[in-house]
Amino acid sequence: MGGQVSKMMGKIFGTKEMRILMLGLDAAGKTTILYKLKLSNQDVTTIPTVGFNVESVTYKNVKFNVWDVGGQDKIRPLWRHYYSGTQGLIFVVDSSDTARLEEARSELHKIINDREMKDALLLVFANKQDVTGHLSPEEITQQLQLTKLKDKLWYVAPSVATDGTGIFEGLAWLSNNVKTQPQK
Amino acid sequence: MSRRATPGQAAQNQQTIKSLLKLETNKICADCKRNKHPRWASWNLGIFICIRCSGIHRGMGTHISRVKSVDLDAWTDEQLQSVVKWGNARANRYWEAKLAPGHVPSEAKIENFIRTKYDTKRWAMDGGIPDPSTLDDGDDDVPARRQAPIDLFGDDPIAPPARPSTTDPALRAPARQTQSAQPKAQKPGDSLLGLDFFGSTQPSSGSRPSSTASTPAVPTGMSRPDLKQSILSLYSKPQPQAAPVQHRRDNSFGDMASPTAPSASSNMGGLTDAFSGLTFPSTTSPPPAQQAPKPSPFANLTNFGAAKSTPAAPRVTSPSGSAGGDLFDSLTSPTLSAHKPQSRNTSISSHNQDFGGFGGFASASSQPKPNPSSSSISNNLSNDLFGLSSPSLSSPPPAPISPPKSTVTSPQHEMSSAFNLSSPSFQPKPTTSPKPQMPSATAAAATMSAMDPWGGNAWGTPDSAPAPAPAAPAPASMMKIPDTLTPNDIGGGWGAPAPPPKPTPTVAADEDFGGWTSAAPVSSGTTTTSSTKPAGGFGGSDDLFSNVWE
Repeated sequence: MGGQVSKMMGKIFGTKEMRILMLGLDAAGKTTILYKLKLSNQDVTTIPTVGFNVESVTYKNVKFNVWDVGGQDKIRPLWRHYYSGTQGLIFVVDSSDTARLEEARSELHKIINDREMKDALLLVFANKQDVTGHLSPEEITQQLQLTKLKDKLWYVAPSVATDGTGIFEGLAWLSNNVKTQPQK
Repeated sequence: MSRRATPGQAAQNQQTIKSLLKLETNKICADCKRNKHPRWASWNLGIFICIRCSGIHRGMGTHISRVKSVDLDAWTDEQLQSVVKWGNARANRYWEAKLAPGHVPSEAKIENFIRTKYDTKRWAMDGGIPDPSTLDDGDDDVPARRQAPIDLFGDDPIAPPARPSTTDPALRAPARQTQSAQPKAQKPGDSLLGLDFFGSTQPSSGSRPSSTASTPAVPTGMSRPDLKQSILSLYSKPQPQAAPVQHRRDNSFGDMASPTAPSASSNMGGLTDAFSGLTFPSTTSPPPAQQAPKPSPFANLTNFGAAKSTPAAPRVTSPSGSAGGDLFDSLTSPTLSAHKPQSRNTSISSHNQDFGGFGGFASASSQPKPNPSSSSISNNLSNDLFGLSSPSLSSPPPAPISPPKSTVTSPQHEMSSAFNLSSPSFQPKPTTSPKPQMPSATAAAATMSAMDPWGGNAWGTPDSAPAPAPAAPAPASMMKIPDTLTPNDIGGGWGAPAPPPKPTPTVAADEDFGGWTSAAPVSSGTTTTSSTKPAGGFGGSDDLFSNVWE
């Protein structure tokens, strides 16, 4: 009964669920973003993710099920096991780690070229905008060669995960664009 | 850096890294000095760190530290070269050049510590970053020493779970208590250690040592000189530390010898008789070295001896329920406040419970409080008493040993929880007396834990006659501890009661970051490390005792 009511309310008010996969190089800030989304008013201290974290965050009537998978070299091959059913990809980049942007670009393109990810929205967090020497979202866009993507909805959002700056704006973009995606 | 390692290169580099991790100095986290076997590294700084510290390093930004996993990342030659050139020992010689040698940052301030160390570079050597190869003192020992102490401490946190399991069930209760107590005590205390009645090896192992507990040898020093020496020989370093301690001990012993010892003596008297005067007398003298807190514990102990005297123990009041517990409680409580470790406190309490029989003692303890030193002694005594009372003791020597292994941390936790439940009274008491005494209290707690082991031993070696002998040593150890106060000292005392000590108390150096920990390292200088090991000593000490008695 309760469940039915909930479903009805969902239809009436447009409550949806979205499966989000959050990837990126190690130390980009994925886990910090995840927990800042979940615990917006708390300081987050993280340790390297060995395996994955998953949290549900409801924002603007959309329930986001966010999967955060560790980004160390040797566990990146495991990312593909999380692709199935993903409606939105959040790719986190450390904007101050310019030395590894090329590596990040390479990993990103590997992901979005996978057949299972072709329908997923792409949100890039140009994270660590507070660190001196960081690149702007435009520079990140260029470095990641996003402009050459076709048939892909993408957006680069500046963020500072440690204080929560920009991360909900990113989620808002996802929730606003998920409607245009085929629902599976 | 951005370049990625080719598979073949990565595999080869991985082997090199793993061999680097076998170096003593790389076996402990370069920053917290607690966690062993680090699996993460900051390759640009060339250090190996634990996963927790690695999280903090990542938070500082890649312009300061670039973290990689030993296991989950592929390493390039460049990254590997940096780690080969530096390593934890050299890196800390540079980054902690202005820190006291043995400094171990407090757990609660670890993030602040790491940021201060690498971001604001507060303790870095003056001048630019030198060629790492010029940073070798020739005494690689230094780093090792530091680590060793650290390890001990580290063990507590980490080890706790594992160790508990190791301990024998029967022994566990007592052992755990002791163990837990010891660890707790260790931190605070030096004083506690000093208190350890009999030299009680336990105390020395005390603090962090508890983790080390596995290394019995160190602790043992307490009981017999011979044993101590032999043990010490294993840990050459410890001996030096011990030396200083000994001096103090002497004083304490003197006290011990003369039951009359100032405050304690009266109470003690009864106990002493019972125990052939092993430690009790000494209680009084101890005061000087030990901090106030300790005294209270001892006082309790003394009370035991003279349960009659109990009156003095007002604080203990709770005793009625479980007098023994009260005593312990009082002891424990202090420790709690002082140390992190709630668990420790609990453990202490648990001890008390075990010693329920001793409840009488607890009541007595109230008096002791006044005399810090004396109190500590009393604690030791009480422990002994308890040990005796406890049935498991029959095989005391072994038992004690096992506990140590389980050592400190984990046991403590377990103990505490279990004990806590059982002995509610504890909490109250601790709060009252403990707070003030905190430092000493902790020490007392440590001693308490130590006590248990002793008790076990003592019992094992049933004869009272033997007891005296051990007692003498113990006092010495106790005495030592007080002197330094710092954890190191304590550890040192235990480990190398006999040896001449080193003075390391200086440690205090880094007030901000856990002077205690740092202190320990300092004292160890070389020896210190060994001294720290003392924790392990508990087990060892037990053995020693048993041997002695037998």
